[in-house]
Amino acid sequence: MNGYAGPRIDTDVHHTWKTDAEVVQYLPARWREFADGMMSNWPGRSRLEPSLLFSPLPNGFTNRIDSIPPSGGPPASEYGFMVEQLIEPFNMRRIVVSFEIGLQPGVTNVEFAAELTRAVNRWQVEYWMSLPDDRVHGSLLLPTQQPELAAAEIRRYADHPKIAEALLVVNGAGKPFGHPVYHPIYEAAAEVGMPVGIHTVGDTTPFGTLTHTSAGGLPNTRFERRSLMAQPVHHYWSSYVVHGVFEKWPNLHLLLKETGVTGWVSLLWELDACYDLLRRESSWVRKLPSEYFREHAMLSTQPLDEPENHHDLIEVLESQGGWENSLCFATDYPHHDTDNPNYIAKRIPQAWWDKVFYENAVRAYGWTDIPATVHEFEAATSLVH
Amino acid sequence: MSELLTTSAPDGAPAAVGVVDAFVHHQWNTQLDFYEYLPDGWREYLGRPGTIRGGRGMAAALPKPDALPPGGMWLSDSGAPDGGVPGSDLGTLREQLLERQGISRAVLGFDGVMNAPTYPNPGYAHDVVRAANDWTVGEWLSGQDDRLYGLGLVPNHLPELAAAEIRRIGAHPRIVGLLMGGNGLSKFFGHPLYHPIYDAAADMDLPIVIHVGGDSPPNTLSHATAGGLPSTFAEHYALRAQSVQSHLLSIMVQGVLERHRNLRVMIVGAGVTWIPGLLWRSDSDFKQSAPREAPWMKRSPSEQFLEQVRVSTYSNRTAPAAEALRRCLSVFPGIENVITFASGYPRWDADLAEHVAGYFPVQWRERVMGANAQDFYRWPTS
Amino acid sequence: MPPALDDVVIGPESDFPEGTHRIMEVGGRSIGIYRSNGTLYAVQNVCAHALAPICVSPLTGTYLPSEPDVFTYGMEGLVLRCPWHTWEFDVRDGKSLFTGDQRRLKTFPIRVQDGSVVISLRVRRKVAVQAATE
Repeated sequence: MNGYAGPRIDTDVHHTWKTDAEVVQYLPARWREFADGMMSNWPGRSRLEPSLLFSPLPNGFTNRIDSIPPSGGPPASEYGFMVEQLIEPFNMRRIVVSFEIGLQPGVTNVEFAAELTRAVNRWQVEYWMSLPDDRVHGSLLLPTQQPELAAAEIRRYADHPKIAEALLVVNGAGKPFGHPVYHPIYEAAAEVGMPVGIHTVGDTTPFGTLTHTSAGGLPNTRFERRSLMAQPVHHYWSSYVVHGVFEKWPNLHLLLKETGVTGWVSLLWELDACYDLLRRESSWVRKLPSEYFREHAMLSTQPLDEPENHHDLIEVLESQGGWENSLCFATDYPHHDTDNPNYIAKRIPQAWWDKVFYENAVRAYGWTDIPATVHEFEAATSLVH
Repeated sequence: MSELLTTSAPDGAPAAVGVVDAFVHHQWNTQLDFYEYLPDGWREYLGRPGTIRGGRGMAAALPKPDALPPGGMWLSDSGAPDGGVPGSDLGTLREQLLERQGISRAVLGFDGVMNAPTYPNPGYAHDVVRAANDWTVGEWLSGQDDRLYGLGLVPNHLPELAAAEIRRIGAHPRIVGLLMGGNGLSKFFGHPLYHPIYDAAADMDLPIVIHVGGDSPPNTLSHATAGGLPSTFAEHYALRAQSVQSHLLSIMVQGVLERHRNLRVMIVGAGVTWIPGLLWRSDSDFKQSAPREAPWMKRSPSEQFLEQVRVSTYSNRTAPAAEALRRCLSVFPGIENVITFASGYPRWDADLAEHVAGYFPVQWRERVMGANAQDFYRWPTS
Repeated sequence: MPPALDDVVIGPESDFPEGTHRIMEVGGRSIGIYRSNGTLYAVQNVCAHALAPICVSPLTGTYLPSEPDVFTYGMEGLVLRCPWHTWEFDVRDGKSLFTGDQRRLKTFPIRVQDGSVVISLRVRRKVAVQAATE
């Protein structure tokens, strides 16, 4: 069988700056001096990020070695090379870039974190969103230690045509993301019609001493940390249901990134079975959790679970059903554990390709400026020829 | 359910096994029933009701759990006729579980006291664990009912003393396994600190049982859920598999099952739906990371799992329609040798033997309802 | 009887010094050529897992299978670790370095003949036809 030849949307790409100066320039003077002063603090440590749970990769390089641009700069810091390596070869009609990986809100100093996050968002607009290429859309990083400020940031960028989503990474307030303390964010996002993305790994900053990256203790190896990585997002999902986020804001949508897929099958069964219990403890649960999921959530495919026999994955997904409508393709470029689009095409049914590679993402992001279906897309492009 | 199931004994002859209940939550009615097994000092410290005016004067020996089911912790009709705490009255247990459900062997695995390793005072925690083990033997395994067996609770907060306790209580013929309940050190259960426990268990040929709930607040630094504390018991319950998945993965990654090829581990309380998600994800990470982080892993997580790990059906109340779960689990050939019936009696989410027998495919029934537990525990030979 | 392999000369021996590697187009394929501990290796530049360009990576060592809590470094210069998902392979036969996975890298016979490095492989037809028509 030939691979998928249609358009793709990549819902998880990590872009970054070439040097910290690109971001620091947008800080107010008082914080610019502070950031410059921090430069000498620790060799090789970025001034602009908190420390993470320590589990280095061999050679300390978390990206694909072949993603270093010819100039030698950081992977995914050069638009041109990204076009050459990702966008063109894989026929990406649109990519959603979301920082490497958006940890600025997790800097312990709450004021600095807010200023830094705002500076990062300005950097993105200036350096990436101003490119004359409507294939590159961005995420709005949210300062989660202060949800009211995050709401303000959402409203500030409400009309920007290339900001695709508001992005949650670090859990700055120490509560599951659906907790009322975060509701100003969802109120703002719903008001302006912006979906909300949640990306894993955010619970490995020092704030992760409040919201652990895993249950049962902290992982001792990178192996364990990554195998259990979806756990916080599973809990966060349950908190959206329990705190009525989708009842309060029925037009809110979530994109849940880099959690893998199979673990959700069990979670949705478990939560649905707890429906009666949930209703006893929460006035907000009016539908089955799985109904909320199908209506309000999308998962990115990366890292796609890879049993020896790829049919087994589909067997498990089909035992629950509905998954062809809930998956959005993602590469996680340029990270080392990226999913190659051609590899993914071989592991999902051909009948799912159009939805998973393109249509589900268009729906999730609410884009009206590009065709909603692959069929319409191909019809439109053939007209051009 | 009175049909006998048979399994083959090592010499090939069929041996009558019957339905085996791999985990029952037994406990005392009042802590006064447990006092004779405690050292004098703690007994006096805890005190008795009436020592202080108004019926007061007794400290609770065990802390109250924070996450409590809204409808009550136990099946509402499982107390003794005179109103005792469920799981404390032998007569009620006999009648409701053993007789009515046709159970030929039941393994008693504690209720609230299983979290004793998490109590902040290490001396108290250790003494409570030893006393709980002696109480189990004295009150339940000394001829009261031939169908009853027990687990030794492991004081895992002090691993060297835990190894000694394993050798002590594990010598009793009716102790058929060991319980890792509360997380005494707030570390994943495979962490090297815990390894003396597995060394002793393997020596004694006693399998390890890991029960959900050992990481619950407020006495542990480890959390029962990732991503913080949930607001509701329902979430806490729906997410209950998280911590035992971490512990199981850690045991595999830190080489415990490679070092001890005869050691068996059972996960109790989380049901079985979580299995595919963990195995596939950890098999991938095994290929990525094991050579440099765990070079002693000779087998992938799913290989170790199918050979040395069992998972209790308890609680099956959150399982989906039977056909959906069968389809989901059947992608793992041999999974019928892993799934092991446990009632969880008398907890609120306990399952009836008859329900579980009818829920899983008929071809799996013999293994699920008796043979897997038969192969798992160290039953007395005479 | 399988079709005979073609011998393709890829360059003088001096082009492949000890401890280095290069990626070259040979017979219509992208191939990584390594010299390690004095020996030459030729590996197809496609990871058996998810099709990554594995020959971007140099050869390294790894931790050998061991008893629990023991780390034994070995196989220096024989391990090819993929730059994407960090799967490790033995460069000598392309086999993966963990049990249970049968996928292997494609390797090619490589030798020095009269001062030149020669790889034996089946030249892809398209390239052969192109060569024939030039």
